[in-house]
Amino acid sequence: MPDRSPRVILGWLAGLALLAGLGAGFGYAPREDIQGNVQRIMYLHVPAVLTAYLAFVVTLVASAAYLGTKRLGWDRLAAGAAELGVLFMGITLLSGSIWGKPTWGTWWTWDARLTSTAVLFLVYVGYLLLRAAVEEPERRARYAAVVGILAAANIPIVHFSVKWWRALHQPSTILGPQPAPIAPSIKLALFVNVIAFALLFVYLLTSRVEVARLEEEAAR
Amino acid sequence: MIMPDNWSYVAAAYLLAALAVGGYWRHLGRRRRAAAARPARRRERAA
Repeated sequence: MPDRSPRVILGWLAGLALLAGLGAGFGYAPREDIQGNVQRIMYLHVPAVLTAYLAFVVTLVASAAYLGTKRLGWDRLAAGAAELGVLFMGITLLSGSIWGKPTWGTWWTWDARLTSTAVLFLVYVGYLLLRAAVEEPERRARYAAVVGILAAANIPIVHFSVKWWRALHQPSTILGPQPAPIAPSIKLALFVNVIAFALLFVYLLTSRVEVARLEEEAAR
Repeated sequence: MIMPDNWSYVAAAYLLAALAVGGYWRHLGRRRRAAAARPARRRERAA
C-alpha cells in the first residue's frame, strides 16, 4: 500500500511545486533584456536565500523556546532548521557565485553583501560543529540554543549590508521598502519558486526532525 | 541584447542545487532506514 502520511504528501506537493517553479522560471517568465537568460538563476538564488533566512529564524525561535521549556523537541527543530539553513545558504552562495561570473566578471569579490553572507554561513556551520562536539544531550541543547539565538543577529546585517555599505550587489528587490521594480511576469515566476522552496523546506524539516526523533528512540 | 545567454552557467547553478538537495534528501532517507532498523534488530536479538 502506498505511504499516504502527511509528510509524504507534503513531499509530493513540494516536488510538484518545484516543477511548477521550473516551468514558471524557464517557460513563463520572459528573457531578461539586459542579462539575457543567465538572469534565470534568480529563480533559484532568491528563493534559496529567503528559505535560508526562514530556516535561521526557525532556529532562533526554537532555540528560545528550548531555553524557556527545556523540551528536547524544540532542540530537534532548531538543529534541523539550522542544518537546512546551511544547505540553502550554501546553494545561495554557489548560485550567486555562478551568476556573478558572467554578470560581474568574477566568481567572488569581498563586497559587503557577499562577505556578510559568507560569515553568516560559517557561523551556522560553527553551530553544527558545536552540536557535533558536545555529546550530552541537555548540555548540547543548552549551548546550541545560546549560539542559535546569538547567530540570528547576523541576519539583519546581511540583509541591510547593501544599504549600510557601498556594495557591488544590487539592493533588496523583494524585501526592500519600495514596491519591487520588476515586471509582473518575473515577479509571479519568482513568487511560485519562493512558495516551492518554502514547501521543500517544510518537507525536509519535518523529515529531519522525525529522523532525529527515531535516532533518539533507537539510542535509548 | 547586451549580454550573451550563458546557458552553461544557468545549467551549472541548477544542477549543483539539485545535487545538493538530492544528496541531502538521500542522506536523510539512509539515516531514517538505519534508525528504524535498530529497534527491530534489538528486538530480534532479545527474542
